[in-house]
Amino acid sequence: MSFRRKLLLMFTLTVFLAVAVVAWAVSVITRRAFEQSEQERTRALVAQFHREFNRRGQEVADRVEAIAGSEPASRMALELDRQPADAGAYVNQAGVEAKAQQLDFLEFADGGGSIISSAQWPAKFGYKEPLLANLALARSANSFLKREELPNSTVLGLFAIREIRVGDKPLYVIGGRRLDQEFLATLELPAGTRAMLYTSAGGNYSPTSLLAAAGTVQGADKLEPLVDRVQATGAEQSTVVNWSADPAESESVDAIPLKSEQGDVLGMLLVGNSRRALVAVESRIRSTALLVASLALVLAIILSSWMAARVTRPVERLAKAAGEVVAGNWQARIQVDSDDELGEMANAFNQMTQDLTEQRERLVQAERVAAWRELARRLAHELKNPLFPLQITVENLLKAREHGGEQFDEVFRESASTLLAEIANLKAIISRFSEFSKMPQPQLQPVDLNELIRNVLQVHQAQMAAEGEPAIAASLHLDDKLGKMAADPDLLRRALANLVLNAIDAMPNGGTLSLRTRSNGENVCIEVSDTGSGLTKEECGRLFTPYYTTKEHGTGLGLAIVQSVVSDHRGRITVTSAPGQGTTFVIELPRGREEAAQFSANSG
Amino acid sequence: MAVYNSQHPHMFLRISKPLMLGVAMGLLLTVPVALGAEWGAPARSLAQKIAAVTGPGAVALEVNNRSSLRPAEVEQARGALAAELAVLGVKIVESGQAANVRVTFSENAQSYLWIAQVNQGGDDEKVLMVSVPGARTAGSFGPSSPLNIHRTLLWSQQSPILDATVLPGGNPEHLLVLDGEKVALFSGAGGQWRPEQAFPITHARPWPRDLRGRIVFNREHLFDVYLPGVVCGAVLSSPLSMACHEADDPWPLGAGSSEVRGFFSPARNFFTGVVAPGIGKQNTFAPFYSAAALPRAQYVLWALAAVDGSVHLVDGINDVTPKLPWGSEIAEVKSSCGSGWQILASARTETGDSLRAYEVIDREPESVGIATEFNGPLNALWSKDDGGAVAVERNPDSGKYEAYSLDVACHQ
Amino acid sequence: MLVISSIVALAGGTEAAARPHYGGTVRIVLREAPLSLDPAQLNVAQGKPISPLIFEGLTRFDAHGRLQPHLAARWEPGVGNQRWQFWLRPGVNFHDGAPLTADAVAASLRAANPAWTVSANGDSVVIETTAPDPQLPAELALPRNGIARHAGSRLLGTGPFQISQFQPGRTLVLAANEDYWGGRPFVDSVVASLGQNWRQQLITLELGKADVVEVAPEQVRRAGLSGRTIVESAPNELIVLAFTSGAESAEEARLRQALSAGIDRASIVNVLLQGQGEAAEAILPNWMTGYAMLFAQTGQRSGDVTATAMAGAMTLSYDASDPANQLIAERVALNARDVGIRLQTAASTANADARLLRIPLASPQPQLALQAVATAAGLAVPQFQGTSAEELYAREKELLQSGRIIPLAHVPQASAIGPGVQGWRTDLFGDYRLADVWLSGSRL
Repeated sequence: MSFRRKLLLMFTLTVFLAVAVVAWAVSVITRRAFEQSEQERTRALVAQFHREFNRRGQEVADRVEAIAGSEPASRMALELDRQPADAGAYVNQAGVEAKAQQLDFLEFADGGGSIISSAQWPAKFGYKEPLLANLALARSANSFLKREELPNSTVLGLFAIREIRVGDKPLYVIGGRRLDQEFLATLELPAGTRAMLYTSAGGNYSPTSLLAAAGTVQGADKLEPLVDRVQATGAEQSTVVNWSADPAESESVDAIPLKSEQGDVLGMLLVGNSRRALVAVESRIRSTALLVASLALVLAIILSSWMAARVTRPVERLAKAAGEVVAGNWQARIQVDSDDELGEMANAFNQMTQDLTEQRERLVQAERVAAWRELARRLAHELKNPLFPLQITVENLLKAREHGGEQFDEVFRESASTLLAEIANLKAIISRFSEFSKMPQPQLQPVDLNELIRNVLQVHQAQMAAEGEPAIAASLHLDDKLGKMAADPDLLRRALANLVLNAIDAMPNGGTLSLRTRSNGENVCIEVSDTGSGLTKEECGRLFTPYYTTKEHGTGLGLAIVQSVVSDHRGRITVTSAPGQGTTFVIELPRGREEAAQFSANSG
Repeated sequence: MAVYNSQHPHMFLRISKPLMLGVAMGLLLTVPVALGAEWGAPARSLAQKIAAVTGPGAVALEVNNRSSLRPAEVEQARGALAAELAVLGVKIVESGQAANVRVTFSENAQSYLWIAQVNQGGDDEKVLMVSVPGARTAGSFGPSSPLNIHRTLLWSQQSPILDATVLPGGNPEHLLVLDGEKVALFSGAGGQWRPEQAFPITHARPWPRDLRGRIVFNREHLFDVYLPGVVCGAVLSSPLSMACHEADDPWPLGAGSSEVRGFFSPARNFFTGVVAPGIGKQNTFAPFYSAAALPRAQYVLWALAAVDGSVHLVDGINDVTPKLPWGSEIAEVKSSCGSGWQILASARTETGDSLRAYEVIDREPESVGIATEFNGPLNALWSKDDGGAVAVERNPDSGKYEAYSLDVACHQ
Repeated sequence: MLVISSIVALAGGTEAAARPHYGGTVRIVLREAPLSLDPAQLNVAQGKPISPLIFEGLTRFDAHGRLQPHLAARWEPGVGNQRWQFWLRPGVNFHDGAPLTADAVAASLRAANPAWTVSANGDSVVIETTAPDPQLPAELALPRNGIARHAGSRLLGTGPFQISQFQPGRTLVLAANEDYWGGRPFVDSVVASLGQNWRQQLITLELGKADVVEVAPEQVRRAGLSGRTIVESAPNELIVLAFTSGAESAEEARLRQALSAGIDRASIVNVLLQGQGEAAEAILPNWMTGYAMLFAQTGQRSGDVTATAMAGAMTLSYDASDPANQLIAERVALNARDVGIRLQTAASTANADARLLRIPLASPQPQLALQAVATAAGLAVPQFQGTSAEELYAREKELLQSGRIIPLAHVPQASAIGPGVQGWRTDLFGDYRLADVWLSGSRL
């Protein structure tokens, strides 16, 4: 990724992060404020509920008191006090009294707790009223919450008990009113708040037991987890309920358990606060945040572009100049536009390239001098060899002339022969130098490399198996599938010959000369290995320097020629060697089919 | 503790006796002593059924009574059963290894039902039953009235009695009982009547509802019978017979020997109000149910219980209607009390009708003595030649009609 | 014991004991609202109390529940009780004056009983049934076998009253039959308001707009306390739980036994029915059979028989038109709960497992009553070879052992009589003998 893009990304991220953090903070603060407001509303509603609860409880107590003090009840108590008492006559009494006093529940029970008459379940006469097992309640002046079993359901109600004592046996009056939607309807609720009553207790959740002022609650199943939690813990719990896919329809619901005197959970008051406002505000915050973020993004793009341009252009220039230097253009320079770090960097670069150029020139010069020195040394060495015998021969001739006679003719003939041989040698040396200096360009044509290698080997076979010399075995590992390649067969033959010769020279005690060919994609590899004494690392490095040789004789041009040929073929040559481990030269040449084909076409 | 009683004390139960006692009295109150023979057949039948299950041998017998049989009768029935079982080789022992036989004397609307549950061990119980026709013979007459109106049960039967008369003279005595179908002649003594003859009454037209009729002794041909639109007379033949003919003849009013007669509506239950010969100068009155004559020194004062509920006191000149709590049944009786003649007048009580005696002093009838109460409504009240009267009541418990002869006695 | 509770209240004190008066119109109110008066269209339990006033049968049950000759003077069974011959009472006419003939009787009985072969034979009628029918004479006393004749659009009978006006389901006016063979009724007419419920009837009586009204059993005590005259029959209605099918397993059979043992019948009778009636463990009341005590579940109180846990709840439906039915059903459900059986009550639900029924016993003849109960409860109708108590007991025992019927109570029929009505005779089976009734005082 370019620096400009990185910069752009960084700027964008920075802006987004900043906006997101701000939006989040605002959202959290807003939500907290809403929740606090909800809690206050819930508390107020619960307080109102309790007030209404107490008021209604007092009303129930008053009505029960009125029934207990009424004449029909007293008469009934008197009748039932007699022996034998026939309570059957009063089985409908509770229904009548309940209607008169507008109570939903009313029971008369005797001192033993048996129901004499029940308005809400007339068939239950004779059964025990479980409430009377705890007579402390009977003596209590309070009203209390209780679950009342009906023939087909169980409901929640506010009850009060009073005792009538006109004879020896008490008569209990238990009256109550339902806690249902009518009760909820009396509560004053602020906008967005609603109250529900869950009138079941224990057991499985019953959606039909959930009542609102308007009737049943739609989607009551969604409150099941909340109800279950309250029943399990007996403590107030709250949750957020999503009534639909629209978040504005969600509601915060607080469930407050309604408990009996003994602390059992008999039912629940659920207060629901609509989250519509909160959702709207959050939505607005989000929208604003998005808008700001979008603007910031645009700004970031603009800013980053400007900043990047300012920052990356010099860097790009630097990079470009460095690339030119790598490519060989040591004259690459960067324009300095500023005085800042980037300007300093440009100046430094320019200075560096200039220094590098000078150093290279000095190095080249030095190398040239060194190469000339080397060449001169080599030349001197090469020339010295044939020149010394020339000198000796001439001196011998002189001596022989002095002596005259017959010795002089023989000596003159020998000397002449020697002189001619040495002069031929000198001519050969000069010819090699001359040849190296004017190496021709390769004439590419399809060449069967394997065949060429075999030819080269065959030429040197005799030398490898010379009598009196340790034998050098030849090992060929030629890839039959190599095919042809585009090459100058002569130059290539010469290069290979040089390598073979060098290998033979490196194995004075015999060994194995290995020749390999293999295909390497579009290239062809030729390996020439010997099992000679090997080369050091330094020697490897200087191997292809003209006139460098490790041999005691030779011009040192052989490998240079090889390198030149390889170079002309746009290949490369590498050497691998270590002392005592032989040496391997690897030539990698492009196959050059197109060139070969074109050459064939041109030569037609 | 609340008690749910099966009988609610406040139930509006206005029968004279508790249910069970009333039913018991209604069914079998005075049963002839010689009832052992009555249980013989059912005992034999049940014993045979028991023996067929248990075979000869020992059984433990338990007897329960759930019927209206009285304890003495239960014992008799039990004895009869044991005797019959013994005949069949079934010996009764105390409970032990023997088969258990539980006999229950029960009853239903039609008859008694004797049930034997035979258990010979195990779960298999055999239930055997014998239906026993109920001996519903005598009706009840309640305790003697301590009042000065004395009544004696003459006869009781299921079908409505219109009148009953003991024919004067004769040994043995003869009793005539009139109902809508016949006149039955009984002979007997000491309250035990034996049927002798029954004279069917023929009539072409249907009887009116609330049929009334009376038997009047006739010196010439023994008796006459008056029914709405029909008059019958005994025919002194051998055997005695009776002939009836459609006739509109007026009926004797008061005691049968009275000369004043009143025409009876042939399709109704009252006298039309036309009397013949008249009472003094009057011969047409308001329709009335019954009449009673109180002989005076110079005249006869007639009391007519009118259909409209009023009472007319007629002396031949005047017709006054005093306010009197009289019902529709009045009759005169002769006694040795007071003026010698009293009017018995019916009245309604809580449980049935009652009869009270009145004397008319200075035209104002005054009650004398205490009322005699009946169990049910009075169906008929007729003066008789002997100075007494016959009253017929319908006993609501047994459903039977009971005819009583009435006379007034002066008690100290 | 015969349980005839006749509660005939008098006003107290002394009052003139008047002979019956002729005249007036007696007004009665009924719950039943028949759409047709044709006896042939009645079922075995229908027709009372109106139909016998108009259409008389060959036989009739008297006030004590004993079968008596009526339009037939006598009868004789053939061998095997499959052929019966009834000799007609002479001197009986239809309401239009036409004489009652054997042909007319035969035609009427054929219309009501297509399975019978009914033929006239001089002044007698011969009835042949497809199977031995020892109860035939008692069957002829049923209202559905009242003798009727169609004359044009008129429906004629021989009874003490004839049809004067009929608005089906609403009002029926009867006029006295002047030439009735048993004596013209005292009252001139009867006006019957039909289709009124218990409460409406009491109000009508209270307002003085009726002379005779029906009283619900549980209202009898209160009505009596209010000073009204109440007359009651012997218990002639059976309150029963009828299962729609037999028990499918031994476990279910045990469950039903446990339910029967667990129901507190005494409380139902003493409290819900306010003491009117008797707890019943037999189908027929003891006054009818004399052996009802044999069916008492001794030793099988709820503590002795417990039900294993039920997989689901049974449903018990009841006729909600009578509020007492709901109370009884709920009480049964409570008792069932005590023995571990879940019973849900519902008003008139189709597909209920059991129904709470109130079945009129149809006839004082116990065999006919048992057949009527079996029909109403959807059970196989028992057949009888004779009239023996043992056979009756065996058939009744079979029905009870089928596990499809659980008797709860026998209740009487009660009526409240207005103060102007006199001569009301208690009838064992609750029949209205309006021909014997007369009006007094302000009602005339």
